[in-house]
Amino acid sequence: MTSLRNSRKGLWAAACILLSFVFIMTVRAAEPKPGGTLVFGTENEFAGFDALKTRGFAVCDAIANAVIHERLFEWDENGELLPVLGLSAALSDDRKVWTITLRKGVSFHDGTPFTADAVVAHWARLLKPENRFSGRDTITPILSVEKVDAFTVRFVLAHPWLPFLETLCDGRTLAPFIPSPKAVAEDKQSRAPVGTGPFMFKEWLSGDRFVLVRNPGYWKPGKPHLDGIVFKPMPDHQTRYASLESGQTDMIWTDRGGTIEKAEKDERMVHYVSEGTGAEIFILNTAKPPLDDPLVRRALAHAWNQQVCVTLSYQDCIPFVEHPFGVDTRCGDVGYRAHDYEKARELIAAYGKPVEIECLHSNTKRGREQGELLQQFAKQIGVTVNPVGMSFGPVVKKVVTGQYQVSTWRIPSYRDQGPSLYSAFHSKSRRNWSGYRSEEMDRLLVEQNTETDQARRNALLCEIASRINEDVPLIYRGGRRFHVLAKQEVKGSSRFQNGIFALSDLWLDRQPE
Amino acid sequence: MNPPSEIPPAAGRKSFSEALGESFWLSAIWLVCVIFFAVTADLWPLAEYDHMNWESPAAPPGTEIHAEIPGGGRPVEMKKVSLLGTDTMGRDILARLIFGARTSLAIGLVTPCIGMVIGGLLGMMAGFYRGRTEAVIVAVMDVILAFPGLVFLLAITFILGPGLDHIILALGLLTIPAFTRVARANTLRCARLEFVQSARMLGQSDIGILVQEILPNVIWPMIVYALLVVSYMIVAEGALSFLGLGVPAPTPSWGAMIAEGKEVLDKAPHVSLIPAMVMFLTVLSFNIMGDCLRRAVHPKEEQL
Repeated sequence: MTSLRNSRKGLWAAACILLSFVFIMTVRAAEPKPGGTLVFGTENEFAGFDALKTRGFAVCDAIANAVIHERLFEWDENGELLPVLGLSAALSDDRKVWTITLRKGVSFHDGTPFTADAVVAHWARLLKPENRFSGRDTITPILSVEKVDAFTVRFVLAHPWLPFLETLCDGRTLAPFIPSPKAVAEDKQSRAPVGTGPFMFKEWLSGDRFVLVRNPGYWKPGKPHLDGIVFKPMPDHQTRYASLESGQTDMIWTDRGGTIEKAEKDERMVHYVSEGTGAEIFILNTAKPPLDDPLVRRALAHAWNQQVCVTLSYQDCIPFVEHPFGVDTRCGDVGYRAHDYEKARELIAAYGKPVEIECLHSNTKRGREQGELLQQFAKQIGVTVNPVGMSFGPVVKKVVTGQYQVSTWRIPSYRDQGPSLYSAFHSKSRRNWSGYRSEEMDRLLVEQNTETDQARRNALLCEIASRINEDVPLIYRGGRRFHVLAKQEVKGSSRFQNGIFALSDLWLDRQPE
Repeated sequence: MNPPSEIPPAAGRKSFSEALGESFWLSAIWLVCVIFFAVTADLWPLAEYDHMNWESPAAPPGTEIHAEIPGGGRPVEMKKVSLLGTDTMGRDILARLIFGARTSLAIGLVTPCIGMVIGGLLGMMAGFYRGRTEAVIVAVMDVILAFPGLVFLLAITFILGPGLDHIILALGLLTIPAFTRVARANTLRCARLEFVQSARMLGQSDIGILVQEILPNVIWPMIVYALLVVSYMIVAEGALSFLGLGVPAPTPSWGAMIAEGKEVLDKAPHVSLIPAMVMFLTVLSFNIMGDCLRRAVHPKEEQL
């Protein structure tokens, strides 16, 4: 009996030791492993990292930017404000002054200490009218940024402005990220960016690679885990996916349903999804005939079938939208012009003249599909659309200079679309590239800018969406949803917001080479 | 005076058609079929080549689709079996293939003509007059040859905009130097021969000698070369379509059809492979015909 009891005890002890071993091994396996270089396949070559000089700052640019530079604050997944270079933000009683205290002991990659001077210099540069910062119309309520002491700054606003913190936290533009004042003064910031982030710029070979290395003096202890990140531009999505399969890249950005479907079936891959705001659109030049007539614009909107576009061209990897505030925002009926050939034909008949339109699109397969779809839908109502494929740069140039009728375009995915809509549709905005003019729209845009009650402001934004659908300065091609594919050994990923995947926390679960 | 045309005697004991061989005639049959369908495309009850079937993208051959058949007035919509399936936008591949033949053949056949006329003229002048004329023409041709063709095509597309006529013009200009060289080499050879010397001594004018004595001897090597260029041009159009510089929508072309299907090669290979096969056979046919003609015209070269 005693021997039986002893043997049971022995078995229990062995089981406990085994379980402890398994537990320790599991915990050790989950612990971040330092070292290794992550290779990320991007859709495009980066446009640069100087807020004043850079045009066409795409999502992949923003992903790279977010590991080189840092903002004052970020939002976490639960909508809580996370201190980064800023520690706290306090609003004055009249809601027109934000006082922000800054983190001490932080240095830029070039050794310049991070102080209030860097923040003030950056914002003064953006706000200076002579510098003609292209995003100036999105930050019109900010009058000035002043230094209070070495680690405190004050943002002075023209009026109470609800999207202020959203603007400071938005990762989709360069404005919230503080660059090294020395690099900016030496005019190196665009091609050799210097920030305070976890990775430092090493080299940029155009069309080949953009190389970052670990910042050994990073202020967050123990971070980052990786030795470096290499971004490789691969415009062709099939090449990008093949590189992920073959092991040439560890992560890729994609927006093609076919590759996403393949990755989901492949157990070596992980698919990350991030819902966004904004939209894929056709921008309509309302200042040029025949699209200066709302009848023609409305007819085109009714002829267009967004659902077919989302299914056929995007293979359902983006959502159907009726407004630019993302699928999670409920606006009720915003008067979306649904696909209806009969209505479209009536509107064209009311216009009474033959309509022929040139549609610009990018020289990619996706771009061509968009042009051909619009051509096909318009043909059904007797409107001739001539798609013209061009490289990305010339398309942007033509739209920005107003030399177009219809073009494929995007509303970028911002956390708060108010400032973006203000700059896109206010009659006095420099970025009103559709040439849309409406007193009612101007009133709504100004009201949403100055409204201090969030619920009332949301209602105003929805009203703006209705106004857009009523007057059709744009046609929705689909919403924004972002996809990143990664190999299983890429670990530690947690944040993927508005298309920006946080690479700073990643580590590689593989043996160093 | 009869110029000693090289064609019939060169074939030796065999008749000229025998010297061409079976493969020449098989290729000719294929090309006649392609040209016939391209010319008569409007007469066949084909679906409209730009009509999209939303429900049937990349459908396999034999799928029943909604097709718009062009009639006198508005197109008639009806159900129809798509013999070769549909492309990624749900368009009938057969209809696009036949209408696309017009584009590919227009590029393939017109561009060598541009090169042959301009290049042939320049080459004959260079070979006949020699001296400064030759030096200038050869130098200009060397400069054009040294200029990257793709950059030139991109520049033409950017300046003139996309369009079938612009592509033909750009590709045609690029073929001029090669034709110039062929024409110059053959003119140099002929200009030394007795019958040209005789014509000169009899007081025939330069133009007369060039047209009556030299041209008949230069034209055949140029035609043989042109047949090879036809295939290069058809392939070049395909390459341009891959770069998004092909003919504008909705006009189909074989190159654009192949490019469209590359995304679904694993799921629906027919979208790319069917136009690729047709292009392959056409290009092969032009190459075979060129080779056969060369062999028939210069049998000694073949023996070497």
